[in-house]
Amino acid sequence: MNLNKDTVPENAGKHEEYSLEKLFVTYQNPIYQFVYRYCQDEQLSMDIVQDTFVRFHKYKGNFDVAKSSMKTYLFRMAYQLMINRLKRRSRWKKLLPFLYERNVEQELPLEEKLTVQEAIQQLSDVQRAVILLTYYHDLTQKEIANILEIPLGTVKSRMHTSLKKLKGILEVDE
Amino acid sequence: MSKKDFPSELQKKLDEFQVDVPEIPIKRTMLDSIANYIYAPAKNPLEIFHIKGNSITGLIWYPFILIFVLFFAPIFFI
Repeated sequence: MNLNKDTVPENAGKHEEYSLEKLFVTYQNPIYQFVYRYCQDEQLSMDIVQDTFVRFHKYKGNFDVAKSSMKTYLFRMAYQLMINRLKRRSRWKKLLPFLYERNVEQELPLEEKLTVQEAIQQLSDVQRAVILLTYYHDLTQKEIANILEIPLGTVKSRMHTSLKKLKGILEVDE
Repeated sequence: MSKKDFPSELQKKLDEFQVDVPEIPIKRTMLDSIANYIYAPAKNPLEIFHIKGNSITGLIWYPFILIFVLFFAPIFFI
């Protein structure tokens, strides 16, 4: 389903036309799924979804349909919020490590393959974002570049390296 | 590059990662934030002392060590 075309009205440039509730209903699932697949933290993902729409409500005047689609705009907001929260969390983790639950590191036997969740977590931050946005959200490389605020060439190279890495981790031959 | 360009075996594996979306209210209340903070999973603070659930002897020794440190600490300030 292409959310860009299906849900955004043609006169989308006028931000008065947007209903926050309608946008929330349309985009809460893809945003939650993206954030959850990225950080695999349910509470953080729920917070990011809510914060994204609060922020959108505050800055909806800045949205320009000529520059990006609504989907791209909301995903960019969610991505920025998530990265900031994860950075803040990592700083606090360094200062007060006992407040944070350590990820349970299970030593898998060599013959046992990693699950896709674990494999995705092993990708670097940008590689993970590129894979998730391409595969699960059907976004073009141009849209991904817009969301991650990186050049198009970087998206292409990250896509190539992350796909190679993911194939290696999951032991996919093709 | 799009989803179709992923190798089919990789597509199968990626499709295994399904996410169920919980019910999310559009706005967060102060009460929710406080509740989430309180109920957020935290690491056992005793882990830094290498005390596990079954190491009761280790737990018994720590107060003695603390008393010992407090007893001798003034010496360093004389």
